[in-house]
Amino acid sequence: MNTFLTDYTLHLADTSLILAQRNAEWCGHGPVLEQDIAITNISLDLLGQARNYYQYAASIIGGNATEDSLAYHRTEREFKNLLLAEQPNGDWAQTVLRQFFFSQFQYLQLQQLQYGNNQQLAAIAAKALKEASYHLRWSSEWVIRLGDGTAESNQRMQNAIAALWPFTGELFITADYEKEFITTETLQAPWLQNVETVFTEATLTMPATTFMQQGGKQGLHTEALGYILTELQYLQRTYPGAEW
Amino acid sequence: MNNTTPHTSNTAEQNIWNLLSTIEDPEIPVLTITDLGIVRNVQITDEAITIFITPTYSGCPATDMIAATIKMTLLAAGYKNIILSTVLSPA
Repeated sequence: MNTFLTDYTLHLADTSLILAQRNAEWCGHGPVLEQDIAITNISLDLLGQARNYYQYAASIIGGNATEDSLAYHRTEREFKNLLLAEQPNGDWAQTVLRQFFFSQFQYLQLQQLQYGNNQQLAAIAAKALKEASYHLRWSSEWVIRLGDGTAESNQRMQNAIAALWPFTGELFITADYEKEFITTETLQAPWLQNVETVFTEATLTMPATTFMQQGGKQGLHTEALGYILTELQYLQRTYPGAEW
Repeated sequence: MNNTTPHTSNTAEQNIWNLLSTIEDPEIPVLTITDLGIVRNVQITDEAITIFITPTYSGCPATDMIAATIKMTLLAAGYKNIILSTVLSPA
């Protein structure tokens, strides 16, 4: 078994699953119906991507591993998702900015993966890229609308930037298990440039260089992940193997 | 709407395509799963019949239901050993 391939596939799966779970918390709570539907559909796209990755990981691991056992029976330290994905929803500004930072990254990442040597990852990436391009457009529009909106919405977006920026450094530190698939450092310059373009239109200020958090890719998480897994895994932990 | 069901000279395959083209999409029942291009290929061997399907998007919740309906439709028509295989590429 190729543990680098397994770990990388799980990293991709976990990031999509955790961000899907976070976005799904908005279900029934969106600011207007249209946006409630948008954010939960983005959640559904991410969940679908996570399933594709988990199914592939389960086929590599073999034995009793299934997409469900990988999502529901692993503990915090085994999850390899980006720290950015697990950050709390905060207000609408923080939620759309988290999606914007991630989609901006995921779009660049999937563009490379779709031409990668691993056929299954390339196929999943090509499908997911279509979805990521929509997520990117949607979240960019919201960053601009709030940044270039009222004094209140601008301040909330600026607060969200301060809260989330320290979790963006990790995106561009390539973990050992990633090396044969992608060099994430090369994505940093285009990511920064694209973020700056949107921030300029949104009249938002790019943050100064600051201390960056890392560890998610290695299973070292913020306190947020434990609470997410508690809710996400509750049913399968309490009634193992339950089906409906 | 053009009928997207391919016409194959292989009668056995054509019969299966004809059955598949009667299955409605669960969300847009005026269209069938062959109209939507969800069925990518049909492969018949001595051991099994494999139907290759693709989801319209990664998270499509109807995909599992469509797979089950295909299986039930073919079983009801007397076919056995039906395998559903998901293909993602080309996206």
